[in-house]
Amino acid sequence: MANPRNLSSLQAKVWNGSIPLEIRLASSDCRNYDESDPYLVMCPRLSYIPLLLPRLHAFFSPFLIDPDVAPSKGWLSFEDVPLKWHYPVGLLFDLYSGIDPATAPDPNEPNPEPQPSLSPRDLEAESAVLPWRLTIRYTEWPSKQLIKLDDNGKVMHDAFINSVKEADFLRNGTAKVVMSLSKDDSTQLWTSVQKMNLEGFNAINQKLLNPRGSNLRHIPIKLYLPHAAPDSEEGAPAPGTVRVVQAIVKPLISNRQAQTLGTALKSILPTLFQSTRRPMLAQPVLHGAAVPLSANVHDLLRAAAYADGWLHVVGEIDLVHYIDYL
Amino acid sequence: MKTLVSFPSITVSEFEEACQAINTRFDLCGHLQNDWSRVDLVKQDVVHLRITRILHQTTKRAHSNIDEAEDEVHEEDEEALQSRSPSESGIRIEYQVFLSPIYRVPVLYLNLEDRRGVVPPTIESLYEQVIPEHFKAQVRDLGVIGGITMADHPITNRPVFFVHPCNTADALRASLEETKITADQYILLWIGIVGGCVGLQVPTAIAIARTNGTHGKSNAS
Repeated sequence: MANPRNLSSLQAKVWNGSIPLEIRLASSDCRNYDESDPYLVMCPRLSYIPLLLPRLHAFFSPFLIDPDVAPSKGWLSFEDVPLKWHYPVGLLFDLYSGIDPATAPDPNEPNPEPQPSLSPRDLEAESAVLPWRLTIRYTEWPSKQLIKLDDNGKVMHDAFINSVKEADFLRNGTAKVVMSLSKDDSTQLWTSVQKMNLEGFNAINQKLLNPRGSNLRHIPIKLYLPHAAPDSEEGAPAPGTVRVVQAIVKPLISNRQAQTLGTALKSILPTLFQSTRRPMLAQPVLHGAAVPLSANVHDLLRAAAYADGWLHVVGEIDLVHYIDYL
Repeated sequence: MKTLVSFPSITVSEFEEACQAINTRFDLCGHLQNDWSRVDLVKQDVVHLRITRILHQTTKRAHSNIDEAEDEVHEEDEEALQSRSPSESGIRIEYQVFLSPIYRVPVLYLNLEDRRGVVPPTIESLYEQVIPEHFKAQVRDLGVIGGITMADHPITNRPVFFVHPCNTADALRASLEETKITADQYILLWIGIVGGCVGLQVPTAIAIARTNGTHGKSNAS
């Protein structure tokens, strides 16, 4: 188990992570012939799209063809892919932005050359993607892809709490811990996510992570595979369809051996993660970083879980190796 | 037939056995009823069970031509029920039973499709057309948690209706003194508990179907 101080400093970094967004109003919703100004914002990676909607509506309402439309009717897309609002923004970015994840120097390489944190090539690639350019629309809600929101934020809140409950159930084998939170505690959990207040969040999250008389049973982890949609009966999958894979992952694989990300991923999807030590066909990406397969999943859970208690890991397929493999 | 190892949870292989059992019951006795129009055991990515019903809106439209057309479809003609002929009216409901990888109990997803395009697939339509009157208050009171919500489908990742499972295990436990139960009995019990609120129940003909193994005859195998 890693030093708790390191874990909390990593958690603070994860909570501070944010993505510059440039959001434009779709021209079909805009009353001006010229496009409206874009809305620019640094959005926390752990936040959710619906939390931005009131500000977006306030900004765009002078340009809207229908200025009376409710803020909750807004939906964002990236390159025509509607963005699922119940995924944290950082997960959406890792899934769709196409930017290479940050990587640590290879620990097996002795005395690595001191390198600038970003090479000129990386910087160039990054500026092509950043700010992340999204489009907002207030009409033609894509109901085949997105669940509708309500005006008072209940749908978003319930989706978050539901996800918290699922994570809790996996950790403890019952949902009793989250159910036993007081009303105030449960409100504080969601408000601290809305305000990105880590201290307020941890006050409640610690109760969830360390329930009395209960050991950690399973790790809440989901693997997201972009561009890996199965053939559906309705023909070709919509652009941006993601396959989400889950499996039961225990914190230990034997009495003395901790589960690593590598062993966990191999058990979730052995065809893609054939080796538990080296990423061969795909690499796991969490909060924009390529995570070493040797990482202890229990440590990851404590330091790098999303606010809903889940490790939402993107399996970024290495196309060059994947095609060779095929 | 073996009894479940960790009731009220169900394992992957027990769940597959349970789905197979419903499929077998329908193959044997499906023709004796007209509530379920088809049952499919789907093995795409993960095994799940799909049960299709056609709702006939006889109550809402009194004696129209549509009613007469529907009466014809009511005949035990499976081809007619399954075909996409334009004469067919009514709403098609597709119930999909998956094993929850989180709660390790079956979970119910459902789709609503009106081939005439009159009834949109919204939660309001679900309340109007599918949820039985005496369940409406209960489903609403429980709100989104514990009631019916929308969630992404486990395979297509598209929004569908979802009956939230968080009370399922407790309800299963409370409904049985005996915890020795076969996969087949389990799934019948589960549909009885979870399906009712969205109009899914096991038709009598299918419930009493004498399938191999449900009456202790499996010892021979």
